[in-house]
Amino acid sequence: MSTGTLSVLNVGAGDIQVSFNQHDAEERQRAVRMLKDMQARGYAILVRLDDGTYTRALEIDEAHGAYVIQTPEPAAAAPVAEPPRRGRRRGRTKVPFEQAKAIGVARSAGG
Amino acid sequence: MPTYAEISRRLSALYVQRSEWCGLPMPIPGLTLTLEPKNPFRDICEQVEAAQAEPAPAAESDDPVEVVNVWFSRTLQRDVVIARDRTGVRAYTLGTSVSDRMRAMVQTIGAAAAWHLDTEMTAIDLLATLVKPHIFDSYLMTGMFLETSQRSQVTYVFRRARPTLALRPSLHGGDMVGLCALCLHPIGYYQETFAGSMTPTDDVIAHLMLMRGDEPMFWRRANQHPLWHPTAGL
Repeated sequence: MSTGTLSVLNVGAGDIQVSFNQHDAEERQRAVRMLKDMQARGYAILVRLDDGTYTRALEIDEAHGAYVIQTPEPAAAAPVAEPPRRGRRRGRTKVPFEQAKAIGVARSAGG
Repeated sequence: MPTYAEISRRLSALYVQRSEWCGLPMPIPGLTLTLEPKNPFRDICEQVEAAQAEPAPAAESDDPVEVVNVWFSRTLQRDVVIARDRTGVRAYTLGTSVSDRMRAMVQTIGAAAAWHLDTEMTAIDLLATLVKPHIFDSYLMTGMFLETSQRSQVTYVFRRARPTLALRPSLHGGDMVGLCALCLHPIGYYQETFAGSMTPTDDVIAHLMLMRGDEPMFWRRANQHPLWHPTAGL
C-alpha cells in the first residue's frame, strides 16, 4: 500500500500533514480538495522525486490524481534524449499523489 | 490568561478544519503585521491592529514639512532625508547603523510572542527529515546551515530568524563572494523585524524547499537585500 503525503506550512498549528491513501477515499478526497485550493491561492507545491531532488508542481491533475511537474533534466552522462512522443505535452511528467512526498509553501508577504 | 502564541495555535487548528490552511497570523501590539495580498485574514488583522494602536501625538507645529526623498546611505550607514519646509530644503540623517540593527533584533524578540514553542518543535522535526544528520546538528548548534544548489552552484546560508545569504565562489579563486540576502516570509511578517508569521524554522523550511524545488522562483519572490544594509541581518 503506497501512501503519499502533503505537508503544509502553517502559522500556529505547525505543518499540517495529510496523506493520499488509495484505500481511504474520504481522506484522499480531502487532500485533493486541499491541493486544488492551495493551487488557486498561489501556494508552491514542492514534490520530492525518486532521486531525492525536489521540483515544483506546475499543475494538479485531479482527474488522474497526480502532480504535473516539468520533466527533470537528464544527468550530464545520460544518452541523447529520445524524440518526444506524439500526443503528450513535451517536457511534463505526472507523479501520482500516492507515490510522492510534497510540501506546500504559501505566497510570500515580502520581507 | 492565554498568550498570543496559544491563541494563534488554537485558532489556527480550528481554521484548518474550515479549510484555511495557512492558519491565523497573530497581530502583536507595537508591531505592524504585513500579510500577503490573498491572505483571507487581512481585514481582520488590520481591524485588530487599528484597535491596538495608540493615538497619534498632536503635531508640534502647523508648518507643513514635505519629505522630498529618503534613502539609506551605504557610506553613512544611515537613512538620509531631504525635507522642504517654509524656510527651504534641508538634509537630515536618521538613526545610526547600530541603533537600526539593534532595533530590528530587539523587535524580533518581541514578535516571538506570536510563536508557540510546540509549533517550532514541529517545524524542527520536519527539518530533520529534510537534511542530513550533520546538517541538522549544525542548525541546532548554530541556528544556521549551508547547502549548495546543484543547479546554480550558489551556496546558501539558511539562518533561523534572519534572511538567507547567497554566496558563490570567487572568480579569482579563494574565498566565497557574497551576492545578497534573500528575505521571504510566506503568509506574513512583522515590519522592522526579522520575524515572519510562521515560526523561524518554518521560514527556513520554506526557503530551503523553494531553493530546491524552484530556485528562480525563490529569487523572484524574495526581496534581495544588499549585504551592507541592516535588513541583511549581518
